[in-house]
Amino acid sequence: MDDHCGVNGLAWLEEQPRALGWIQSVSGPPLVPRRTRNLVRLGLLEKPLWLDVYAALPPLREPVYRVPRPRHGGARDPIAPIFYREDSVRARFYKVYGNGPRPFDLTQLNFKSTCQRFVEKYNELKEEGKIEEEKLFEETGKALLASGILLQRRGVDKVAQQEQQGAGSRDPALQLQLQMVLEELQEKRKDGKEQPPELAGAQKENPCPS
Amino acid sequence: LLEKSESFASMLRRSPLIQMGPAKDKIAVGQIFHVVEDDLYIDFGGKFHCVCKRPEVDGKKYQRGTRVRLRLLDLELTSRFLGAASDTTLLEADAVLLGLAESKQTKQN
Repeated sequence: MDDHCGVNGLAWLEEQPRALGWIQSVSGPPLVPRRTRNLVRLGLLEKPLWLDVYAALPPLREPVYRVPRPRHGGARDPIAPIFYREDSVRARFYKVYGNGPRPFDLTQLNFKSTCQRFVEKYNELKEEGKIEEEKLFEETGKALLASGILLQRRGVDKVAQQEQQGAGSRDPALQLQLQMVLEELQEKRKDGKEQPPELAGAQKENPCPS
Repeated sequence: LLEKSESFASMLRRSPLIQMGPAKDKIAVGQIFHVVEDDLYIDFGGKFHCVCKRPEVDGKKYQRGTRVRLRLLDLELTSRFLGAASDTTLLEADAVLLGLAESKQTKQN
C-alpha cells in the first residue's frame, strides 16, 4: 500500500495516478487536490495557486462538508442581536413621528436620514446635560424644527400630508406659521375645543383620525 | 491622499440600513435597473432588489435608470415549508411602488 497517512502525509502529492479500476479507499489522499493534481499533470487544467499552498500547509482535517447534526431539546445557535444605544432613541422617534419626511437612500454610505440627525441632536443635548431626561425628546424635536427640519407627528398624518404636498409652493415663513398653528390645534384638540376658524379657511377640510 | 480607515463595525453603526431599522413601511428611493415589459426591477440599495408592476399613471416614464419612491415591506421574501430544514428564499425584496422620485427643485429644506 502507498504510504499515505491521511492529510498529513505529503507523499500522495508525488504519487503517480493510479490505473483505472483500482478500488480507492474512502479515506485516502484528499479528493479535490488529488484530482486537481491529476488534471494539471494531464494538461487539462492550469495549475491553480492554492495547490502549492495546500501542499505546504495542509489542514488538520480534510475540509469535506459534514451535514450538521439536528439539535434536540430546542438548543439553538446563540446569535446575539445587534443593538446599539441609539436604537432606543430611534424606536421612540419612529413611534412618535412615523417615517422621516425624507425617503431613505440606502445606496449612499454617508446618507443621514432625519432619524439619524435626531439621534445625533439627542446625544448632543444629552451630553450638554442641561435638560432633564423626560424633556430631552421634545427639546430635540424643537431644536430640529429650529434648524428647518419639519417633523409631523403620527395621527395628524392626513392634515399634515396635505400641507407637505403644497410645501413646495409656499415660502418657509408661512410653512413655519402653519406648523405652529397645527401644534396649537393639537393642544386644543386635547382640551376638547373646536377648530379655530383661520385654520378651516387656510386648508381643505379633512376628517382627521382621532 | 491619506484616508483614515474606519472599522466595519463603525461603518455599520452609522450606515443607512441600521438607521432605517425594521424595513416595514419605510419610504426609500430606488433606481430601475431592468425592465421586462410591465415588470420593473428596482434596486434600492438593500440586499435584494424588488420587482414592481408598471403603474398606469405616467407608465412610459418608468424606464431603465428612473429613480422611484418605494414603500418597503420586506427586505427578503422567505418562508419555511413544512418538512424543510431551512427557509426558502426568493432572492427578492417586497415593496410598493409609490411613484417617481421628486427632483431636487421641488424639495424645500
